[in-house]
Amino acid sequence: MKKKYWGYIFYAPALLHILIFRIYPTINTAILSFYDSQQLAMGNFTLSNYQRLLSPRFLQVIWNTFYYVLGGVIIIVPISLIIALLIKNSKFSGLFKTSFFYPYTMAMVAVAIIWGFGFRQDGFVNEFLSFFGIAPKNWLGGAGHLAMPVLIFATAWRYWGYFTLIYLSGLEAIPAELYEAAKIDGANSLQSFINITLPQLRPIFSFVLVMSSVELLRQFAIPNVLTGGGPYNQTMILSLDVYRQGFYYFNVNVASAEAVVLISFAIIISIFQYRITR
Amino acid sequence: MKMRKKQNLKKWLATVILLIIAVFLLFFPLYWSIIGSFKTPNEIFSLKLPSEWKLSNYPEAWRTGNWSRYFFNSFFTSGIIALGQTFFGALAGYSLAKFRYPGKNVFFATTIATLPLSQQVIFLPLFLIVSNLGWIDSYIGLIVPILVTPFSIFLMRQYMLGISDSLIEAARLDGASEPRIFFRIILPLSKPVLIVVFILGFSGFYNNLLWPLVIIRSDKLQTISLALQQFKGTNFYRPDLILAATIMSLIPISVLFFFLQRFFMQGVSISVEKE
Repeated sequence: MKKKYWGYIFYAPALLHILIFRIYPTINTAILSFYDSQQLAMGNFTLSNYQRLLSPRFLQVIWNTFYYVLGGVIIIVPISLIIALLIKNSKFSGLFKTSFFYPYTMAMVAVAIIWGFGFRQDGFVNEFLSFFGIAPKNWLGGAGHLAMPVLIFATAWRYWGYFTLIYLSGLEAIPAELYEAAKIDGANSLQSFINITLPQLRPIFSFVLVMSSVELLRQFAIPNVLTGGGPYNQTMILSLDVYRQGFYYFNVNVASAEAVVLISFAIIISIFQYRITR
Repeated sequence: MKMRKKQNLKKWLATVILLIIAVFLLFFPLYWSIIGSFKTPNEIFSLKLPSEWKLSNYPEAWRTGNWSRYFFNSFFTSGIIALGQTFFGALAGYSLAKFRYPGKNVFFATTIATLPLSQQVIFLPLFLIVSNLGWIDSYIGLIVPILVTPFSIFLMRQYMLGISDSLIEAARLDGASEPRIFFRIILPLSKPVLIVVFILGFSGFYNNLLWPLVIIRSDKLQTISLALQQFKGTNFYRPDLILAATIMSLIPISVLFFFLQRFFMQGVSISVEKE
């Protein structure tokens, strides 16, 4: 019987922390988002914080967030798989694993600085393209709508190797007998890829899909340092805007309403994750 | 024989394709940055090697701010946070994996449900709490809100489920106290997952910008990521110094990764296995 009580004692610090630093702040923000003052006692209940979110400017922020997350997922999910398949069937696979994983260990500010230089007008990306006769582009300035693709690329660059490793652990878990049986039946490698690898990878596939969406939704450092939300708000995503409203304009209540939207997105994605993994 | 040859050819083909991708996508940007940190500003954006290797960028960048202090701050805060996530994660994970008591499922559900409420998502509400506590611009404000993560509890529980109950029972029969069992049996047996959680926690906070940006006001408490961001903003006309500072900031975690890559990568596989 004494045992039981030790179970509670061991979980207590974590429970206390989760209550104070995760659950309470989340509820507090949800409440603040319905008030017109930071001091609840002095404020009134209002829907105006949410009404302000229906402005064209904020709708663009929501759109940018979707664009960023979906764009990121679309280039991370297949490319990480391709790299994983190549690594699995190549020599020096350990070395490649390490190399591709390395950007994931880099500070995000550093990633943003390096690609910020790379995509300057006189940066190495334009230099490189000029070898192929492609005219230099104004990637991060101007109204050419190129900043978001660049931001998506720089973010994906950090994560490709991480998701490659996840795919690899999925590929290694596929029983070799399946491939051998297919070979005996006379299947070529493309057929066994379509009929064995892809169906067997389904759970990993969903995992990568959900995890990459979560990661993209949480990004702050790379967008903040690489584009700062510009040019002309083209890359202003939710997390940047919550920061801006809260810490530049001190609109804590509006920022809280935005934070509620951000938290809701994160929870929705996690529910998907839970559904998938059940 | 012919089959083997074909296999080998395929292997080499994959290797060459990978090499091309890696060179253009990974090595070139890093190479460009390292070389650039030894150039004069007007040579940086040409693809050539420096006409003269300029070693002074590093000391010059170092002198622009209190960099030894920033490095200390990053190591100190990341170290304490990693220790906390490891220790409290192990305690909670052990409780969930090896004890039976009323309410355990509620605790576990709470852990899972708060996974999406990461510090990057709830930074504004978290900031309000920290400012009410009077912890703005302090180590405490930087460290305490991140000392426990549901993810680390999760990994620990996952790992500890694999520890055999008979070991714990035998120790109980010998009259060992519960804390003693935890410190003498559970922790030593969990070493691999402890190392993984520590490394993930350490590099995670070392690379984190958002939380220090929100909490820290004074120069003497800045972390590397925060200092680097400010440095980039104020010295935009000195790309040579920015690159030197960037490479400098990458060195600690890169060294850690070089020696402990196995554990970095194990963290990934453990998080997949939990699925």
